[in-house]
Amino acid sequence: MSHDPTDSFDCGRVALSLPAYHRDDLPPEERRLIRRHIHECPACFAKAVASDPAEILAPLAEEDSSARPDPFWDGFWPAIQEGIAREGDRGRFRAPNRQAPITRRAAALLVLAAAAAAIVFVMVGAPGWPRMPRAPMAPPAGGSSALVGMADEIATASGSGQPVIFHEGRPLPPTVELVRTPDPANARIFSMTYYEDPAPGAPAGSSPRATELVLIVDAGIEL
Amino acid sequence: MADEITLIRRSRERDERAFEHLVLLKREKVFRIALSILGNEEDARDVAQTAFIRLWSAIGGFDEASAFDPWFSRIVVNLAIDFLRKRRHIPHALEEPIEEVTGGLPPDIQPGAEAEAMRSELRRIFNRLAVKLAPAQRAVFTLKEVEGMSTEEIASLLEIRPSTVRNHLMQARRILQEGLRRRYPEYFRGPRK
Repeated sequence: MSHDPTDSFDCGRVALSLPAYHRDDLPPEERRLIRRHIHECPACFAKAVASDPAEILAPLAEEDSSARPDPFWDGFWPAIQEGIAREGDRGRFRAPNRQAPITRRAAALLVLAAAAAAIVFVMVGAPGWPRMPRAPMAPPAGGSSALVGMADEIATASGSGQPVIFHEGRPLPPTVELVRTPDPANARIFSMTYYEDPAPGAPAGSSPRATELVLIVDAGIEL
Repeated sequence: MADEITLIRRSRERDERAFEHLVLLKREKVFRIALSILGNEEDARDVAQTAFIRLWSAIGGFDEASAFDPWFSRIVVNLAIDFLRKRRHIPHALEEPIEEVTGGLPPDIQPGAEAEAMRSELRRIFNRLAVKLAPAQRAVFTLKEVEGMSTEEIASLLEIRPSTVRNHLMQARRILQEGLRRRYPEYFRGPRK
């Protein structure tokens, strides 16, 4: 049996106190010391567990209570500030001067989606991935900076071997390019096109710059 | 940093800076209480944040003649119980699947890393078994057995009768005992070495 110098409970005393311990008839401090002895002494531990299997959980009472490292608390206070501001005390409490914090689960999903998007940018150019012919993209009238792209679920590929494309009778948006996945994984594919002003110094009458974002998402992930 | 009572007074006067220091002072304790009930660091952190948000609204009603920690702990515990209740209504959400332990727990409690590994494993086992507990049962069990609170302290904290605490405790132990016997029989091999 291991002994701590502060452990004033020997096995005999614990054995005598065990019934009262199980009946919860002991003062908190005495109970705590007995519990500590029980989980350090194999013989008493076995006796305690034999009469109450829940005693197997006794070591949980000795969980490390040391302070968490500073990185653990990153964002803790700003989230509280934001929560207070959101709960209607805006006039009294200043919201943090930064983008509203998002939950870590949502952040993880966004990171996942961004990673998926990055992968797709690579995959779009990969050989062996059949593409639908692209319809000509119409630049926005006026040529000013504007978001005229569209986001649309354009395809779901599923099954093995032959990808299946679903359009449900909708016409294909003119800015969309289909990407067919060769594997059987389900996927939802989104496309969005942004138009920006011509680059500075470009000749007058230059076409707006178009940037296409393609996002492929595992259909099993709920965004 | 000012002392605790000064921070509380200033927070009651809507001093944001003082409240930030109060958060800094109390966050470890609040997190630990939430963690002992919820068994999950991410959930405990969320509940702790919510508790401080609630504190900002409620601190005006705090009576300085009473102790701050039990008063605030009641907010934390009730939020944790509410969290458990909501979670129970989401089928299969957030809970670890109940599964048999294949590797087994080292039955010998040893100092250092092995003892910590054992506590970690016990925490996982408890979280699996505690799915069967009602939120109040779980809160009472952890406050009693992990936090070491007395029956009277728990009754005061949860604003219930001591007899109700004992009843919750008895039910929780019975459910855990059944779960342990059924799912983890390897833990009951008699006296060790």
